[in-house]
Amino acid sequence: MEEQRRQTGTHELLNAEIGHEIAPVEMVITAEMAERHAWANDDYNPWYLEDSPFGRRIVSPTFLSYDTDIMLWNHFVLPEGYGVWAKQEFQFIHPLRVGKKIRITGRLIDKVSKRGRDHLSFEFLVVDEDGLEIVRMKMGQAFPLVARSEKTSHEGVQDEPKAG
Amino acid sequence: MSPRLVDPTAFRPMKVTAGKDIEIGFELESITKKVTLDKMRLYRSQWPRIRNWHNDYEVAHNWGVDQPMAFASQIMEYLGELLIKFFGEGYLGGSLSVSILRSVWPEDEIVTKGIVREKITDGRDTRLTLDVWCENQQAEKVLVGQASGLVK
Repeated sequence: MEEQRRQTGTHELLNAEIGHEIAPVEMVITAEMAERHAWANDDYNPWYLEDSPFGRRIVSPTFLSYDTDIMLWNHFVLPEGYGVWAKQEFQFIHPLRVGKKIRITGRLIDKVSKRGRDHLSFEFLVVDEDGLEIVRMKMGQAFPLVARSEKTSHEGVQDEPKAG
Repeated sequence: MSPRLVDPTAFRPMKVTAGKDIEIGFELESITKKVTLDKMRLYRSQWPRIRNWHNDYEVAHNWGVDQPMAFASQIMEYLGELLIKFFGEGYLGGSLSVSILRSVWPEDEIVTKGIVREKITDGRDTRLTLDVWCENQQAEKVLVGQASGLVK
């Protein structure tokens, strides 16, 4: 078995400008994905496995958060010292239907240095093949995994204003 | 005759779901999950399986942790289940915002909870806002956040 290469991205993360767009991802939501997901999460909702009020099976509302993380590391180089997934937000707009092709776009929207880490925020929009907005997401990640001394915050990341 | 066993994978809806009569302070029925290495390996898995620190001990050791760590996104799924069971179709137009506080490991038992904090009626729609969280078997919060959904 091969070890997963999460560092297949080529763009420098900590030097990226706010607004930097992440390479978009397209995928088809399959019945196999819905079923495997149900088994993995012990969540046997018939909306995922049989049918839903939305005209066909759907997948869970939080399904795509994993994909945004993978999308990030297929675009950016994972910084030395790794990082930690700190926050995630979702706005649920339309159901994510099985059989639909979707496109995920994303960009860097904020970066702040605080408490020995660089905190970067990203936003993602998921649109399906019919042009429907499915979900909007924001993700916050902090680098490095082990916080460094406050005086060595990374150049290019703005220090958070201190209170007082 | 011995009693027939209940299918442990049968869907179990919540007894009380979101409705206009739900009051502030209402506690949602909690959902308990046992995190296992098998489930972590199945979550968004690919075939042939690719080793990473969420599914493989050697890779986890190389990353400096004692054992594979559950995906944060997999634990968020438990909150997604809570919302869709409580709000039903009303999860659309709703939101979820979480902060990740602690790592989750194989054999952890995670309890997902929610409590209604706000109720706003606007025309025909009522929006309920919840505090939501997941805690482990030591009653330590691993994810905390807020969620909302609509009651039509």
